[in-house]
Amino acid sequence: MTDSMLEFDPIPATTIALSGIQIDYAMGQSHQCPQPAQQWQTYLDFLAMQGFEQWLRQRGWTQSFESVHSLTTCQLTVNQFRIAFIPNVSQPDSLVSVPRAVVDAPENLAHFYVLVSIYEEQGQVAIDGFLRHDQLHTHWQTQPQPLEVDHTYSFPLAWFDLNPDRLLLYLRCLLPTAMPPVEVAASPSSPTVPARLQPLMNAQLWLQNQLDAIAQEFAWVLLPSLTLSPGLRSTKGMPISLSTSVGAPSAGELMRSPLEEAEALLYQLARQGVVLPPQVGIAYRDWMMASIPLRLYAVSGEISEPGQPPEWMLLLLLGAQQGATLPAETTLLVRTATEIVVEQCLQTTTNADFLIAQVMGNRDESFTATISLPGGAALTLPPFGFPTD
Amino acid sequence: MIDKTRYWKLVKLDVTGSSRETEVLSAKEFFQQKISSTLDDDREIQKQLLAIAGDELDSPDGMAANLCLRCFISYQIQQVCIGLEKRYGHYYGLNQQDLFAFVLDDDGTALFPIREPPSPHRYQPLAFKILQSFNPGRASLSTWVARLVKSHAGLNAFLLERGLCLLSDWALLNDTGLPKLQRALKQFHQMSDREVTQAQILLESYHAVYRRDRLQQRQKGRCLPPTEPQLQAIGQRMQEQTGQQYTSQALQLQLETLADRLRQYRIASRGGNPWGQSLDQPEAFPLVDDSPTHGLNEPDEQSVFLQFYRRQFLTGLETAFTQVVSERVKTQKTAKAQLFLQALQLFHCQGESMTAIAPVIGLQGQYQVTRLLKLKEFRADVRHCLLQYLKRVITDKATDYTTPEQLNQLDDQIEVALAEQIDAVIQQEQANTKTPKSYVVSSLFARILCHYLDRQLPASVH
Repeated sequence: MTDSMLEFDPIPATTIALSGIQIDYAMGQSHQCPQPAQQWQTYLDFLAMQGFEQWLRQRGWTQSFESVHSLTTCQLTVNQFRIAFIPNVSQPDSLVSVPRAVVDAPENLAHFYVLVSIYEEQGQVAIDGFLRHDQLHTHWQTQPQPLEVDHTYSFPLAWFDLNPDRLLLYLRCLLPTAMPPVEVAASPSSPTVPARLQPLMNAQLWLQNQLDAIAQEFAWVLLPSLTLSPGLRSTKGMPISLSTSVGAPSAGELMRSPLEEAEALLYQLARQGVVLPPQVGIAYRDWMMASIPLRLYAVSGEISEPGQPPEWMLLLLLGAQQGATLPAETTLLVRTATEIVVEQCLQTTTNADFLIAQVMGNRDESFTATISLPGGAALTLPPFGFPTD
Repeated sequence: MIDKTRYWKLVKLDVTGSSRETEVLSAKEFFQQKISSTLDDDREIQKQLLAIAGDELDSPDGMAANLCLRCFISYQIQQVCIGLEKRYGHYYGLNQQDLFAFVLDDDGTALFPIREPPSPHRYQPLAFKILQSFNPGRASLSTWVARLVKSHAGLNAFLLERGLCLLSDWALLNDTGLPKLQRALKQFHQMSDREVTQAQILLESYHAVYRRDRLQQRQKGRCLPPTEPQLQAIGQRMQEQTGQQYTSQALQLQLETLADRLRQYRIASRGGNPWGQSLDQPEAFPLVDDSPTHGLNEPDEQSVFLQFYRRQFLTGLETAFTQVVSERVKTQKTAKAQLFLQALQLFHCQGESMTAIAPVIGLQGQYQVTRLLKLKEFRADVRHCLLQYLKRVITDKATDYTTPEQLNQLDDQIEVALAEQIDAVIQQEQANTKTPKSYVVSSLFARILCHYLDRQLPASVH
């Protein structure tokens, strides 16, 4: 049993006490939410929003502000800026739990995300700080966060500007045109696409043995582009037959270089009848996810058929780094802006070591890949594109 | 060697509200006759006393054993209050007498048998609730006393008013999400994956039941321990997931243990973030915030800025004071608004320290003056107001407001201009010394503010 005077938390002098009516209102709003698991979050959202309104008034805000709320949204519009709320109940902590929808759902876009400490039991809130949308964007490019088991993202507290007076400064003095506009989607789309926060990774450059800045930021490693000999390619316009997985390299081939491994995999795929363009660019990325060392190869190439508009191909090969194995039920999912195109799941019954997804699209189409592990960890990569020059 | 006199000296309140020890003769005689003098372990002694007090309800021995335990409890309660005063008293303006009034409420006269169910019609001292809920198998009596004193509803409300809050176990569990649970148990407590998964299922089941009921039944304020039906519902959910059966008692214990682990993690992780200001330096909180350092790299930049704005700056500052002070006054109740003006005047114009201001305006201590004045916010509001003013009057410079960065820079420049004069005062203030008189005469901020305040306040207050 913790027996110490340290159990007491000092609460900031700027705490705002909510009235019984305000708390009741938030409880009432939570009942509107059809999913029981979401009700508590809705309740906290409304506590945060009301606390923020009260804070504005305490600071002498006299202009009107309007709240926008639906089943998934709880926002305020103040001086033409859209404000979303991140209730923070688990301080002190260096990470802030942010519901997935705040980031991923297009209808939740906001200029500012305000971090509000909630002392639920005490009926008090404190405005801790905020995150500008453009700063969120920048952070997300360099430090994309994996989805946690409870469908939240953990944002480092350091992302937030912990001086709420700065937010007041913006709301009071900043011209609404000073912030990049956030576009509000006409209707909520599902599944949600976090792509809007992501820059495009140019896979066409790989063919020219180049990596763009984004790929470098995300620690992709470029391999020399390959010209596949006709013998390696299946010929004629065979329909794409896509095997979902390929086996491990044989024992004697252990400790191959990534280039050798990639070549071997492509060779094996071609032998299985997978259509590959004559010239391919290759990049790969190694990273750890839920303590598993993963490797993802991405292969790109142009497909041109006479009389057809030019298309491009993306081939993703997900495996574990040498010495490790990919756990069963690992999933590789690829989608366009509107739909899921491939979803491959590693079955327990196969002894495959790589999950494979091959997709083709017009030159202006991009593809977003999400990798999920059985424990619930998931990572969505910046989208791959093949833009025309 | 333990102090056995604790078992026959009752600590209670005297008429002045201080604590005083009184020897209870019947308890002393009983203790010396019936409890072996070779026993030198509080736990063992308490076990014997509990057994006698519980079994011999109406006998003189039972009553005496009961009194012995209450004497021991009264001393522990006193110690917890003294501990609170020692740790928080100075900054939060707590003294032990204030705290005693809530929890040191057993005068030793009434009889409160341990096994008698609590009566709603009769006032029950805290000591009685402590004895009734005490389980010697779980914790020592002194730990149990500390726990119940610190979670006493009246005491908690009092502390909250002073800026200290204590989350109940149940609120702590409500506030904890799964990622945090994993961090606390895995990284901090180094528990195995199996244990973590088990705890995860427990917490999810608790959330599903307890949070739902709190919302549906519209419970506000202190989170009470889960009821028997709630524990059963939690057990049901657990069973669905694990296939095991749980008794309500075991579940409650598991939940309390989990809350305790989370609390330890919480305390450990409090260092180094904005909420985690160590209470040893509570002053680090409210007064001086980060002084802007960027945006003013060249020495001339500030003077150019000030020259340019000088005229507008003076008028703007007065306008800003008028607006900010009147808005502050508007949002407060009349009495408090008057206090605010008075405190502002005493601080900025008379050069009084917050400690000195407190008694003049009828407040408990510096912390309350700090909360009343909210100097940091006051300054920010004045700056922003000044910026809005400047934007209106100097139209050709309005382009500077078009990016957040430019606006930040302007705000910082004004802050530097104002802060140079004010920060010195505030830092002095933190050391609880008087405001230097030179500030009062020389500071632009103070001059204009005082000029304004002089017109607002009736002559009687200064």
